Amino acid sequence: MTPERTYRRKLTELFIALIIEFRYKKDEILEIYLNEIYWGQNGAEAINGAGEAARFYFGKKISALTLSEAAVLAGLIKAPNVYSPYLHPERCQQRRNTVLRAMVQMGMIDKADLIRESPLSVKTIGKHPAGRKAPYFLDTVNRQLSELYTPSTLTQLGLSIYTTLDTEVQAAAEKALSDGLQQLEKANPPLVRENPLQRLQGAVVVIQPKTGSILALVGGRDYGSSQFDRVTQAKRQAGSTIKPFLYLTALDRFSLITLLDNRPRDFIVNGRVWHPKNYDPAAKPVYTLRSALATSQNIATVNLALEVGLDRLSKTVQRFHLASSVEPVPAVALGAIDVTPLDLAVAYCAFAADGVRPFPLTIKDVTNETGEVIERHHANIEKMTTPEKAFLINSVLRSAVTGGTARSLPNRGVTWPVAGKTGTTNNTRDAWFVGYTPDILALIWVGFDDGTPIHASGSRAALPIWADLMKQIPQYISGNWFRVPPKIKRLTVCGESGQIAQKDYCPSQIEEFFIDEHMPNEECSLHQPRQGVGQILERIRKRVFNF
Amino acid sequence: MSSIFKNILISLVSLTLLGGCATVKPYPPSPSTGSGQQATKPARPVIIKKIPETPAPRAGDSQRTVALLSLVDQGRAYLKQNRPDAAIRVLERAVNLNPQRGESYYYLAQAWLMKKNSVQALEYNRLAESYLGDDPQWAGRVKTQRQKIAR
Repeated sequence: MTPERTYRRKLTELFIALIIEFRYKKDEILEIYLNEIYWGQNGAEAINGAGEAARFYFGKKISALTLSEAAVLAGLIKAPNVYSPYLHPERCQQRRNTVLRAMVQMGMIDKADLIRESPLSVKTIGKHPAGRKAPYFLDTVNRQLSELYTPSTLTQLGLSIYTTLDTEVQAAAEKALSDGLQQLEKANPPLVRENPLQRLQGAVVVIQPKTGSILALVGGRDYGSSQFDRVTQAKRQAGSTIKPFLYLTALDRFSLITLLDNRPRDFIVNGRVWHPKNYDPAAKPVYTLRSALATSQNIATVNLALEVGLDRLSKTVQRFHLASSVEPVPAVALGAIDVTPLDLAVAYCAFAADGVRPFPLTIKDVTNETGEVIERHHANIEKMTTPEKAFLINSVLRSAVTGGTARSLPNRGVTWPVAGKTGTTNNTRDAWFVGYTPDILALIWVGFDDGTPIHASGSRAALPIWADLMKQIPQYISGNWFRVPPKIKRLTVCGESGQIAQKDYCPSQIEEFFIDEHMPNEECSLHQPRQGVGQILERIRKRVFNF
Repeated sequence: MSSIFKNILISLVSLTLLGGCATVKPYPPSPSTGSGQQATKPARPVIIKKIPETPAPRAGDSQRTVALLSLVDQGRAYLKQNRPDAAIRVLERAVNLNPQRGESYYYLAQAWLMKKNSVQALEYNRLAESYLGDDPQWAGRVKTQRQKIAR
């Protein structure tokens, strides 16, 4: 029914009342009534039905309510907000006693019960501003539903919405974020803010990479004080988390053993000198492509970006739906680009899902009151790169965990194979960590809404939250690692020449994965074995007689 | 003169041979910079009498795998009933349980083909090929499926 005051509406009500009276018994009518009526307000959310009211005010099931508590709920029906135990506890107590007296008069309870209960104050569970579970996730669902249905359809059709949310993962994500931010504040007291709107914030999103199903979404540390969803609405600088997309682009031309110059130098950008620095002042002058990404070297990355072409990098960033337009400047290679955490997480799914990017899913099915499915959302995937290149990036990002910027992860109890990338933006305004396995991907962001520095890197601020979260959801940890695609070959190469290693002679040998077309096919020319007479004669014969 | 030449020749040969023996001490291979994955392909059965539609659960299979195989079977059953949406729903659950089993992708491609969505069918067919391409009989089925998608 709509709320307008018209004769037509009253007439309709009259007919409905007659039909209900005819079809249902009094107890059934009361049950329907108690399950539907308005029982108060929690922020923007209405409390409807006796079950929800019992949970909201007393944190119990209806069957567990005491006499006094049941009387409070009965008394609230008249004017839930006027007699709310949260807003007006004294009025609520008087109203409850009125109900108890009425019960005595009707012979439902003894006078002794009234005498015992009347003086007692009303004890509630305490109002929790974010009473509903997964509030940020539900907001996202609501936004999507409002694009699919009109408001009247949503309020009148009795739709059931089936979502991808896993409440256990959601609870684990909320706890990990809350604990992680508190620990950061404890370790660095200047990060503490009294104003709830200015507190250190964080965001977590957990996705199943192959289908894009969002299992958990935490858009901030306290929904009650800030409903701004930092997963879907915040635009933050990506920092080093953008680097894998550059290295992926580079795999068109280079292999993981390609050497990159990492020596400090000036770059002229639009007529101005730009002097990027490495995070680690003791960085080496030369890195392989693998070690440069695993240890997140900045100068080597900028050199690679210039070699690959800034236009191509921009196109990759756009193709992965990270930004609609990107200015082709070298700083983009270091993450000078604003992204939403959700877009970044979904882009990383392409690595974890053999090169396909899933569309992020929150709603699975919508059914009407008869249970008929009226809307179905399936996984929708799009090829971003080849399984071979995705595998190479996964392999490098696993190196980041075993010996690179995320090497603290195993010390935090993450003993199964994981790929991960840290990110820290200029002046430590943002700290990121994206970690994944073939089964699950989670992204963590930590920072202040106003961009105040947090004085902590991604590995220190965001990575511990990821580790805590994963340890709480063992059901999603299979321990599997990515299968090596058929077109990938593993080869031992000489660390100096980059050619196939002479097993016993090359002093520095590297085992590396190669895509077929980039595989070296000549043996190392720098470290040849000493040759016997036969080989020497054979070479002379070939050289002299040319056969 | 000839003895001098002979001595020089013997010396050269000796030096060459000794030089060959006295090569540098072999270096042990450097520790892998890779991530420790097994590069070798799993041993392929020599004779395949019959490829079951879905591999039967084996003793020692994890509960996860058993559940996955059951879901793939359910998906196939829905496809036989011409219910692609229901099939997709359970096959996606199978993918989430173990994303590295190619059968799920093959039947997902089949379901999308049934829904006449060749774009999604092709994407899943590609994934199926990536996981089942090494298996001669599955590879044939995946190829046939791709031809159907292309029509």
